[in-house]
Amino acid sequence: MIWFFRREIIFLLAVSFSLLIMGKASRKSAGGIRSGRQVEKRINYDELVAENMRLRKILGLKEKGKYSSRFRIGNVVSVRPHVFPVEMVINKGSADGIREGMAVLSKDLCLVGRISGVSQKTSRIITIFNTVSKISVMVDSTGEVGIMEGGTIPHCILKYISRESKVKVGDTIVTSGYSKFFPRGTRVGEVVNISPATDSLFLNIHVKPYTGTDEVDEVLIGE
Amino acid sequence: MVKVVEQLLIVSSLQMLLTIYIKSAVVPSFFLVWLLILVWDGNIEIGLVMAFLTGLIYDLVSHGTPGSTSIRFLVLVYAGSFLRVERLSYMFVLGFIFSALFFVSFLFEPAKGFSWEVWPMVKYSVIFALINGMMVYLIELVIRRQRWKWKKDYLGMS
Repeated sequence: MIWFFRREIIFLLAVSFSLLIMGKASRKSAGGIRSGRQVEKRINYDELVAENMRLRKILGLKEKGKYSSRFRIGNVVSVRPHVFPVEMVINKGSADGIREGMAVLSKDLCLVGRISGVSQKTSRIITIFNTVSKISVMVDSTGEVGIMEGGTIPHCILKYISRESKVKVGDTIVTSGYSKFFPRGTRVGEVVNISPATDSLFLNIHVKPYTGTDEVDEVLIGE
Repeated sequence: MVKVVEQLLIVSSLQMLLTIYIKSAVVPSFFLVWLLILVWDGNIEIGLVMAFLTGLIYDLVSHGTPGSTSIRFLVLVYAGSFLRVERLSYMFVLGFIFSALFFVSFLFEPAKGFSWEVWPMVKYSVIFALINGMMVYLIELVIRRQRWKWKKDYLGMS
């Protein structure tokens, strides 16, 4: 009898194990259990990043004043999907001062996304590739403001830039500062293609974000 | 069993190389192709165990939530085990359908719906499914030719 249902038994056992592993992984990331050596490594790394930021400020990279608080560093626990991620989970939560809506940047200070959900020890990030992501951005060279939408892999679409605009391929796109989530001037991506929209007076601009294809292990969270 | 472990090592190495070095929206899934061939060859129980293991390896390499890909593989392998697939053309079509479902499942969340717009999602899932479907077809073709050659040699046919 049992032999007759062997396929179902193996399937159910394997699914149960998978669910157990998923639950354990979530609890582990939430608990933030680390060995002493890892903690030491993390402290050293935090120090190095803080030093890097101080040096950047000294070198006049114009980052000063954009973010009101110090950056917190989060370790990426999971990514979905692997390339052009739409969602990430990091190991920092409300206990570490993370709040919903905070901006998430890569190590080279380019926009990754924003915090969309916070638990005590973990946070969920919606990246700029997600279809729900709509960011107020600015063309750095012309100062024109538009909305950059996600969901159109591998590029994002910049909308509401007039046909009269002098925007050109290679221009840098930065955050406009009009959104409550992102301070003005954070680098987002680069214009790769411009075409007039057929049904409106605006341009269809394809923006290649600076993040997305490289593996992201750590992120900076600021506001 | 030894053969299956050997195959697992080869497929895992290939998948790791692809996942680490291909920075594109479409990374072919050797794991899925191998699991489907394994199950349609009649190795259902081994296929289910391997679906669990390969899912864990895949999550480890691609920074996914451990266990989530195992569930996807298990569901597809379980569903695939009910199908009797003998013709190569059916293998291609079913490989295509299963691969498309696998790709789309990564972008779907019950509460929020799909995380990509419809057009890019359809475009990339079709590319992914075509590559995987072709791989299923070609690998099965090579296996069948090899088996036929061995049979011919064994029987001394000319």
